[in-house]
Amino acid sequence: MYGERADVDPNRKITEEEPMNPEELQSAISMTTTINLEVYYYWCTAIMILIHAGFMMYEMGASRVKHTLASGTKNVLAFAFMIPTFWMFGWWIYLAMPGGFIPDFEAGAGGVPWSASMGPNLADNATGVFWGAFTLFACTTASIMSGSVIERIRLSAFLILAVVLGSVVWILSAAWGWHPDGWMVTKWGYHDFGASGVVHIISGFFALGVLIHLGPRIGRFNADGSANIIRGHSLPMTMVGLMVIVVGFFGFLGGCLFYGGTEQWTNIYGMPTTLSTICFNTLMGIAGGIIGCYTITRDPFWMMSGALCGVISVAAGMDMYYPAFTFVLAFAGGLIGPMSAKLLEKFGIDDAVGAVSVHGTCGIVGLLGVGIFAGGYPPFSDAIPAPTFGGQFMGMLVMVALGFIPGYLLGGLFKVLGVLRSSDAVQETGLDLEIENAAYPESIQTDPELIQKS
Amino acid sequence: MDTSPITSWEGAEAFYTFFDGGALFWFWLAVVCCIIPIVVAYRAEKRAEERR
Repeated sequence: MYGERADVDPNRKITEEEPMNPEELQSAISMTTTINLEVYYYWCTAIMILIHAGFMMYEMGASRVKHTLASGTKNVLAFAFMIPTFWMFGWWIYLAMPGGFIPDFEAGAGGVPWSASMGPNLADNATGVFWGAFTLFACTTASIMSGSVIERIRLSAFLILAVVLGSVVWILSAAWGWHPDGWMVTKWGYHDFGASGVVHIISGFFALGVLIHLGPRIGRFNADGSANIIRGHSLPMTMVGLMVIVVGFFGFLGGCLFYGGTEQWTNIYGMPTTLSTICFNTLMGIAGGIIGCYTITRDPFWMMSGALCGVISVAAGMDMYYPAFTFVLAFAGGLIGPMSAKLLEKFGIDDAVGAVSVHGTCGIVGLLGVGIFAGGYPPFSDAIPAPTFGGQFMGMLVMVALGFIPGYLLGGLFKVLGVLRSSDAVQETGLDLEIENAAYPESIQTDPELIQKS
Repeated sequence: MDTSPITSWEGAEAFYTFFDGGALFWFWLAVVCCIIPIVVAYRAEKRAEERR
C-alpha cells in the first residue's frame, strides 16, 4: 500500500546466477516509489521553511527600528508554536473532520498524537512527511496574519491567535476543501489546487477580523480620517524577504501535488497533472503579479508584494491554466491587490503589509477564476462533481466566513480582556521594550568620513 | 532505563519510545511546555508597561 514499506530483504544480493524474481522486483519498485515519495515531500517541507524566513525578513523590514526585534520574535515563535500544536491536534482535525464540524473519530484515529503513525514507524513512510508539509502550510497562515498586525499586537495574544488560525481554522478548511472526502469537494466540486482559498482567503480574512479590534498603529490615521504612510526601516530587507518567499512557494505549490508512483502526478483531488504544469504557471503567475503591481503603483514594496498577488490569484487553477492566461490573470491580481488595500485604508483598517488584500482579495480572485475560466474539467471519480462557478462562489463564501468569524470573535474577546494591544506608551518607546533588546544597538548610521573615503 | 517498546527489529513497526505506555504523560508535558511561554510573554508585556 502507498506509503507502507515493502517487504524487501536489504541484504539480498542480486547476482547473474540468481536474478530477482517478479515478486522481488515488484517489491523493490514499490520500496523505491515509497522512498521517492518520502524524499519529495521531505524537501518540499524544507523549501517551505523559506516562506517563513522570507515573511520574517519582510515584516522586520516593514517595521520601524524600535519594533524590529518584536516583529522577528513574533515570527520565530509562531513557527515554533505551530509545530507542536499541529502535531497535537492539527493533523487529527484534517483526518477527522472532512464532513463538517462533527468529527469522525474512526477516520481520525491515525492522527491522534499517541497513534502508531504519529512517530517513528517502519511501516509508515508517509505520515511524517505529509504532516510536515501540512505543518508548514499552517506556519504560512500564521506568517500571513503576523505581517498585518505588526507594531502594536501583544506577543502573548498573537501566539494564541496564530495557534487557532494555523492549527485549527486553516486545517479545518483544508479538511473541507482539500481532502478528497471534504464536503465542499464532494458536494460542489470545489477546486483549489494551490490553496487560494484554504490558505490565503482563510488567513487574510482571519487577519481582517483581528485588525478590526486591534485598531491602527499610532499616527496611521489623522482625526479627519485621512491616512499617513508609516515607512518600515529597511525596504531592501523587505524586498529580499519577498524574493525568499517566492523561492519557498516552489515547495508550497510542489507540495500540493501528489505522486502516485506508477502513474502520472495528480492534484490533491486525484485529477492528473504534471510538475511541469506547476513550473510553467508558478513562474508566469509570479511574473504577472510583479509587473501588474509595478504598473499600478511603481512602488518597490508593492512590486514585490505583487509576486504574491499574482501567484495567489492563479493558485487555485494553476494545474489547468494556459501559461499566457496565467500571466494575464496574475497581472490582474497585481492590479487588484493594491486597489483593495486602498479601499481598506478608506475604512480605517491599518493592514501594515497589505496581507488582507494580497491574500484575502487575491485568494477570492483565485477561486472565482477557476469557476469562470476552468469550469467543467472532468473530475477523477463519479463521487466528485466537475468544478463550476456556483461551486467556486459558494466555496469562496465559506472560506471568507470560516476565516473571518473566528478571527473577529477571538480578537474581540482579547480586546474585552485588555490583552490584545500594547499600550500607547510601549508602542511609542517600541515593542522591542518587551523583548528587552535592541535590533541595532550601535545604530545603523554610517560614519560620514567612511562614506567620503569609499 | 528500558523504555524500548520492541525487543527485535524483525517485523518491527511503530518503535518510538513510550509507544507501549507513558506516551500520554509526555504529550501533556509538551502541552504544558507550550502554555508556559505564553504566560512568560504576558508577564514581560506587563513589566514593559509598568516601566513606561
